[in-house]
Amino acid sequence: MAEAPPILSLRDLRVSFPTPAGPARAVRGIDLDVRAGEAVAVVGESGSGKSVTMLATLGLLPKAEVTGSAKYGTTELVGADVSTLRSVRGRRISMVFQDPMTSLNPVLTIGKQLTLVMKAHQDHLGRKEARAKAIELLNQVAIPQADRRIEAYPHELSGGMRQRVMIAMAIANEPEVLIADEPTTALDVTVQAQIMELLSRLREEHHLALVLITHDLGVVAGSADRVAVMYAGRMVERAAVMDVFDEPQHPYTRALLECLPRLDRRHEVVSAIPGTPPNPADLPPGCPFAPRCPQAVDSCTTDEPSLVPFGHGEVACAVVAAGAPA
Amino acid sequence: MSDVIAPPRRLRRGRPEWLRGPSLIGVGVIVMWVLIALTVPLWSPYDPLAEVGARLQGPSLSHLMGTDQLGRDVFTRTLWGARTSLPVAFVVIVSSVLIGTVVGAVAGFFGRWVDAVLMRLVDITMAFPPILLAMAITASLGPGIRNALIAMVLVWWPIYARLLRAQVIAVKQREYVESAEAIGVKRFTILRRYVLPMAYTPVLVNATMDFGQVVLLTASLSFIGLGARPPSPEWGAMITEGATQFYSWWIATAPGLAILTVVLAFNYLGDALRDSFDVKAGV
Repeated sequence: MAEAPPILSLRDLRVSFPTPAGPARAVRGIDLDVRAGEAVAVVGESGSGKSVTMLATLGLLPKAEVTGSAKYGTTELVGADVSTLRSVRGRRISMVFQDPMTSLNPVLTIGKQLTLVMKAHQDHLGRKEARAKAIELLNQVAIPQADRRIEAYPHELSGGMRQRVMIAMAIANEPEVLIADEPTTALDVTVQAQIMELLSRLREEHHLALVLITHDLGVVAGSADRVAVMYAGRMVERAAVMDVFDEPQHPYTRALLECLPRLDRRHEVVSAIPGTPPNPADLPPGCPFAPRCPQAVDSCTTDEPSLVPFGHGEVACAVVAAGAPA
Repeated sequence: MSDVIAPPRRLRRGRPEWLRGPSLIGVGVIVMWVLIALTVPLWSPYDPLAEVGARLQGPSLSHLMGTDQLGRDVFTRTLWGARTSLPVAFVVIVSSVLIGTVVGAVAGFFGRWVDAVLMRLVDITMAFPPILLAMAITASLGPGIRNALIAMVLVWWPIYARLLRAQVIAVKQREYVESAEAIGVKRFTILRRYVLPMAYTPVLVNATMDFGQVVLLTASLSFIGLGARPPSPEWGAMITEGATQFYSWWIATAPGLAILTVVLAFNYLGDALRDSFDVKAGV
């Protein structure tokens, strides 16, 4: 099938942080394509490098060493100068952060903050125009009484409301890609659903590409087209969302799905994955998941597998790729 | 009919938390001195520069704090002294805060070599005891209240630069600053609207506390002859005159009390502000 060229394209992206114990390799070669209007979920547990990948893409990690390539259209973002990055941030690729409680400026009204965000890319915006647009944006993210709420300070709004404001700020300059870094983690479950619905609706209305960073597979199922599973800075599996849920290939993906409580399997005990992810400053040789993997064989501790086509998607596991019995 | 509960109109009414006890007295004393400084020419009992009575008279009803060796009224001169000390201290504090703000904000926000260069400048200035450096600068510029003022600004700004820099570094790591950066808000806007308002409190609190210190420093420079020159009625200069008249204790006592009350008042106010805004003790 012929696909449109990706608007965001990562190739062999690597990020490492200098530490006294040597470089902590948080991201170790990520390839990812995002096309207009599509929703890609990047899944992994804390410390798997999913947020770092996206922050590095936008050049938001001044202390990290970033190599490889991250292209918006034809614009290379890795190593780009500040003015290039600033013209992309918010205008082309925008970002919503995890915690709406701490992500808004406490000393400015939300209307003022929206205005500042718009003015960042639209210099000649008049005061009245900016106000009208701010109200329109708040309406778009379904904040009731928007004309009054723009006078509110962040502390006067609930968590869900604040996350809506964050989303309004992120789409204020009509970006093409919206990166949502765990947008619902800090919210309670009913609000989570509303926020995910909002993101899906905005994605359709604005033909936005959505990159959803999350550790919550439940969030992924309802709102993503494709899923990329990350572990210890690498991608271990990449497939369409239904395939991941129906036929997870990588042992790590399977283990993640086992961790979900399921309505259709009533009397099962929800399991946890034993062990902890490896320290990025001290990675074991071979497959980083091998020490926790129930299917590991000897070669897993010596050779690190790379992503190869398998089944309906791609998987980075020597045992699975070799067709060994699960 | 059910009772309607009226919503509270304001969460806190009346006096702010920091305006109680000693700080209220402090504010009262400050207001009093400011009023005196502004209005004394209108109701001054005597001309501060003219000989109005016999020399070296002790306190009496006609001369509340006596007269000095030139027969000038000490009480009048002390009141007029506020017209030098307070504006000088005000200009020194405001200029120092402005310079310190610019330097501290730029150093803290942009970091790297800008920070390194500016902070070394601050280190060098702060390596000298302030009074000594102010004396050296005034002496090289030539004595006089204007040069003393310039010297005090040069000595004082690094305190605020360093204080604000530390605050800016702390605030710029907050998530909302990172989030503003991620959606492309201009760096200068981030500094001005996102970082500075959250970083400024300790500077304002310290500036209040320092006001008294600058009044004292002004008087000290005048005392050793580097600030205001005679015959101008400046507290430090008046104490010098009194120091040679050991048995006419009132000549030095009146300006001394004036300095004491002003410094104490600003210290009380500053202390209360610091406690109220929960700022850690100064550098």
